[in-house]
Amino acid sequence: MDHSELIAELPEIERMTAQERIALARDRRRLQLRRNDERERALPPPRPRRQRLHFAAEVELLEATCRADYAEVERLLNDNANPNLHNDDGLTPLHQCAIDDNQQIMLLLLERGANVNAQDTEQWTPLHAAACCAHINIVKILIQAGANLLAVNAEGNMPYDICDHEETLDVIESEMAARGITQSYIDEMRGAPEKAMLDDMKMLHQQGRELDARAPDGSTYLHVASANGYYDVAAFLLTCSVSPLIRDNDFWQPVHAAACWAQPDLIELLCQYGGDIHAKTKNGETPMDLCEDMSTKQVISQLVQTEARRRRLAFGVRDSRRQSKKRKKFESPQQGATTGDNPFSARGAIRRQSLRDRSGLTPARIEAQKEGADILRTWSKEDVSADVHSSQGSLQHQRESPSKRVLKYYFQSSQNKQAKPMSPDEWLRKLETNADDDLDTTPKRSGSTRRRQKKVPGDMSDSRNGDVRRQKSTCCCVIC
Amino acid sequence: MDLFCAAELAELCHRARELIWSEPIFLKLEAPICVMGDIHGQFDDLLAMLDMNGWPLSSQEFEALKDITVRSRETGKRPQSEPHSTQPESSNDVKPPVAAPKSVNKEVTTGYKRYLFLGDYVDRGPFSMEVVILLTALKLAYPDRIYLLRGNHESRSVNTSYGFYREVNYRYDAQLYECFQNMFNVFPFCAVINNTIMCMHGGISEHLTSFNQFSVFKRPLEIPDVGVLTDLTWADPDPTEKGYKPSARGASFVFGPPALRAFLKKLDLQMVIRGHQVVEDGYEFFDGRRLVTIFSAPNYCGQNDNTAAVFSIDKKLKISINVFRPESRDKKRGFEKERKAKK
Repeated sequence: MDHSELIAELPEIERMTAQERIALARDRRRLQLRRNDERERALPPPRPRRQRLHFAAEVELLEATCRADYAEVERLLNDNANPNLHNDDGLTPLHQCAIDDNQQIMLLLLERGANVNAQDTEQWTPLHAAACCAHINIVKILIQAGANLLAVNAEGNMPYDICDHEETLDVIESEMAARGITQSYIDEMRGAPEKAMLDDMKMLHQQGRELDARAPDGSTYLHVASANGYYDVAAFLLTCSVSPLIRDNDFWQPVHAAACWAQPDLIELLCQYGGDIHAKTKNGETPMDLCEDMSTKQVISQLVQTEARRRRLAFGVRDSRRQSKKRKKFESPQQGATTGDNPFSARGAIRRQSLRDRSGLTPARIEAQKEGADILRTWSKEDVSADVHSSQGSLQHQRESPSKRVLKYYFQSSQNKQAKPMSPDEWLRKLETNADDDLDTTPKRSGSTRRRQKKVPGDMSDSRNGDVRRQKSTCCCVIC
Repeated sequence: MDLFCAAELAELCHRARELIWSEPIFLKLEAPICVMGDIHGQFDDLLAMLDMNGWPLSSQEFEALKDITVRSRETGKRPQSEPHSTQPESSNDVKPPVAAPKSVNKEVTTGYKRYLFLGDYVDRGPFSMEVVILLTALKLAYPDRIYLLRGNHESRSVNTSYGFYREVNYRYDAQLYECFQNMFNVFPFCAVINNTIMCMHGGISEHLTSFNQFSVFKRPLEIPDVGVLTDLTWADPDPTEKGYKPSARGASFVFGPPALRAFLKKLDLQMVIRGHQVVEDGYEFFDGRRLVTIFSAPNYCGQNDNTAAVFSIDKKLKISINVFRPESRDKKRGFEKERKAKK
């Protein structure tokens, strides 16, 4: 009704009784609803609702976690998104929270059943990432949620190995001490995969099976041992006459795998048994080309120089005469025996240096590890020695050099055994006294640093060409 | 010896030019479809990604191609070559199949993938010609399965300096380069999928307020120095910006999250898919999931260690991402698998 009509009605309405007013209002409302229905029916039908855009669950959850969007993460989890989904790198939302120091979303994920020990494709757990980034509160949350303090990643490191922040390291080591984790237990856990493989190799050897069997891509046990840094497995295989020059389908030799995965002591061992430091893959890559670790590159450089020096000496008349004499006694092509003690001590020095650089351990932990490694190595050497004795007489000459090395190791290990094994308290006390000597050479995990890299525009150099285009003021292609 | 003579490639360019010219400069597409970003002459990687994600051919069509290839070899009409190199040759002889009626059941059984490429097929990489020849041949054979957008490198002023002109002139002649350039000049600039997702090579434009504006553009044309078409092929997102600001590239603008939201609201869209920038994981989100950058040249120029990505959009507009890694990283990964097997 028009406003003027309503105004005109007012005197008449004022004269009505209350009941008459209510009845009139009800009639008006009924009329209003009928008109509205008619108008609704006359309208065209509404447009159908647009399809909603959505992503695969793992993409959405990981992207929301990266943006630290708590509300959306909660909504996705309420919609039954799996908190353990991961991208192609194996990165889970929990890893992302550890990298970004996002405690709020991490607590939410753990509450909804996220796996606290999820491992990415490089076997990093969220605790590895948090320890590496020195996010102390994240470390506490993960430890309280049951994180595995002894998880070993693809580089053989436990979380406390890659933590270079004092307070965060204290939290981890205090928890390790509280759980009664001793240094020997740590070494045992760290060396478990290698010991398992060594046991497998020995069993295969006893059964008379071939130790150079190949995987579908052409790689052998020696390739695997070289890539993983399994020194004793590789030593065992080499002493059982597995060739260090064996190649897989891509023409990778074990020395390429050791260089690619930064295993300097494996490179030395392979070259000692006749491996070629200049070997090339199908793509023409040498171990130096494949190596990305600086300390391992130094080891390779020294080996290259040593071989160059040896090659120069071979041209001397007197030296060649001496070599011919040696060749009469030992028909083995190994050249280690001819160099006497000096290269051995030099090699030992190189190994100690590379071990420190590789793992970023404190001097105290280096000492503790060396003791454990010596014990482990002694044990494996004794077994190798037993194999040497059990072999045929004609092979004894070829094995004489390794047996000499075993004897030296035995004497050294007997001295080490006289020392008392350190109790956990002594170990912790030693760590505290050496706290100021911590090394800052711990390598950051590439995944975490990668997240922080700025994106590079692929066509940055096009800007020069753009300037040229700017000057074409008379270009006929310009559309006004 | 090259597989094709210049006359054959010129004919391919002419036919593709006529076909693409007959389609609008602004494409309206329907899901399901896959979106692939910059290729930049990396032909081996393009083949690997099509093998991984699926070709725009069904298995029956592949078998037919094999038969044609074998027959061609037996009759000696074509020189001996590797099977994948004969794709452009043989696919020309296959007539486009009759379009099947669209239904859920039949689409499931078609067995082929539809593709939208975001441009930058040439320059920088070593096999720009192979990339363009394969994609245009597939376009001619299956017009409704392949759509090719134009990138800033499909422009004379750019690809004379970054490798394509040098490659064509060295292997054939400058006249053939003109044929390729004439074909590029009719390529479309952007596409909209289900009225929901807008795809282009570069980025959004402040001056694009309605899709009706595309009717004023007449092809063939070069990418101009300023304007909507420049922005669609040259613009970049910048999280630190609010509006539009001249780009450091020297062409077009950079835009911030507020500009993107205004653009999406004005044109009633939900997302933008673009290429134009290397991203480490092959894809990267901007402003939540409103814009995503896709790059499909892994190990770009042999200098980046980046992954390549392909987006798959299904009929219900669910998006999944397939990534393809550089070979060097796969090599390391192989040892990891063995390591796990040992454990």
